[in-house]
Amino acid sequence: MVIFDGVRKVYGQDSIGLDRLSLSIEHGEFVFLVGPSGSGKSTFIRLLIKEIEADEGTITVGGRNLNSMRRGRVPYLRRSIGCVFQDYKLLPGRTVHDNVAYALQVTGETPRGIRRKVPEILSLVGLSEMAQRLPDELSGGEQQRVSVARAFVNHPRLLIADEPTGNLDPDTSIGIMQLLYRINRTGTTVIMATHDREMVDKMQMRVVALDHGRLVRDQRRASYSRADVGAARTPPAG
Amino acid sequence: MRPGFFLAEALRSIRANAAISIAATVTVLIAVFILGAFIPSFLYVQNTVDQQKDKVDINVFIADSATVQQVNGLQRNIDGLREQGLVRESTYVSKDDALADLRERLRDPSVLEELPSNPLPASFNVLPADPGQSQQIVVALQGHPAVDADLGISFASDTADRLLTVARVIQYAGGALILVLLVASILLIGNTIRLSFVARRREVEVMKLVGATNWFIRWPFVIEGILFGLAGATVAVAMLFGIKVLVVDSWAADADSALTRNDAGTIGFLALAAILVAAGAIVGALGSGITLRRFLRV
Repeated sequence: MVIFDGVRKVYGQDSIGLDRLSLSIEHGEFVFLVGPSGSGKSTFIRLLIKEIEADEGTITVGGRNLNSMRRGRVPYLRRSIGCVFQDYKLLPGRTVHDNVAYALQVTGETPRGIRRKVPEILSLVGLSEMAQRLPDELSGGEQQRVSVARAFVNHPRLLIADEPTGNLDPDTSIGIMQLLYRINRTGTTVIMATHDREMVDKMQMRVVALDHGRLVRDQRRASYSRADVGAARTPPAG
Repeated sequence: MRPGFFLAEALRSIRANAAISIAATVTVLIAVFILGAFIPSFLYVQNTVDQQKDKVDINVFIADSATVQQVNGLQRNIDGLREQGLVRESTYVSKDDALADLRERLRDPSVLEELPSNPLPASFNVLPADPGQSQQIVVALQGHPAVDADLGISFASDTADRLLTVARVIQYAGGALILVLLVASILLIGNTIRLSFVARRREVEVMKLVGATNWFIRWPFVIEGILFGLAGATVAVAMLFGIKVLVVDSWAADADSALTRNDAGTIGFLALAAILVAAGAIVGALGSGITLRRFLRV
């Protein structure tokens, strides 16, 4: 689904985003991306949606080479990737319904399709009652659910979450986590960058650890830190 | 469904930025109002000049001693010039015609009765196709044996030149003024759209993240610009209509005013309104379109 091959990204003089990262993520996987601030997690995600471009190496998403992708195709790439952010990134002046509907309108969905799909996805994230509320009338957890609903309403094959629980309390975080897990169960590849040690330890999924832009660990059924000795190390792809 | 959606998005944005929207509309209003006041005035002056240009004629005086053959020869020369496209029209004015004409113009025609004979020469009254080429016509006919050696050929070269200069200045200055006004409105609308865009920068970022194409994001802004243009132009047309009814029409009704003495026409109000509204819409579309080109580089 996602292949990074020797990807390097440098910001300015000596600020390294990613340093020759090679990594392969299969279709349907759930991957935690961990590491301290500035380790390259956000760079990884921004490269995936072609918000920025790699200086070296190649990135392939769903069989499409991002290096050679024309600018005009970028919106279509993004429609095939759902994105959830720490700060929700909802459209402030629009209701919950309209926020989710926008992701469909962008793809040229008919009003009929919108009337069917939006309530469907809002009920999946448990926000049917909130459809006509504005984002600032909702709690953080509810806003993040809207964000997940918007990311998933087009049924993308890849969903990226950048610190989706970063602003939420532990109980609310579990709700979001369960939502992402259910989405992953439908066959959607999920990549989640996080600092939430407890969550990662509980889930026991594949963990990719970055530090100063380098891959320092890539382990299946793993915890947040290297502590558990038993697990086998998977060699980096490429 | 798309146009409806984009229109709804544009209206949403206008409501969200009411103050900026009003500023943009007023900007267009001022530009279109000035344009609307200028176009009819410009056309009026232009038509007046055109009419005056028509009155610039050339008089070729014929010597009393000239033979019929010589006069016919002169006539053929003038006809030749007409075939070349230099002369629009020529009329033969006989000595009697000239005297009758003078008699009409004199307050006291009785003085003419004192004359032993008709002192006025016959002449050809020649209208040049283009007053700028009067000199050429004069040169071509000069020295013809039928032409009176003393009186020669007279034409109002100064008047013609001055009128032509005035016409040209009006054309260029008017064109330049209109151009400046239109460019200013385009830039001002562009600036308004830029403000509206910057105010919603975060929103636009989000739109791009969920896969909106640039045009999907741009259309509502372009429609917003067009709506500013249409709204400003409509109000300007309404104001111009008020001025027309209250001021210009009463001038035109006054038999002694310059407007009635001079029958130079100008543009009809409906045509003017259509031009102004179209100009408003185009200015709005261009203003927003040009501004948005610079944004949205992902």
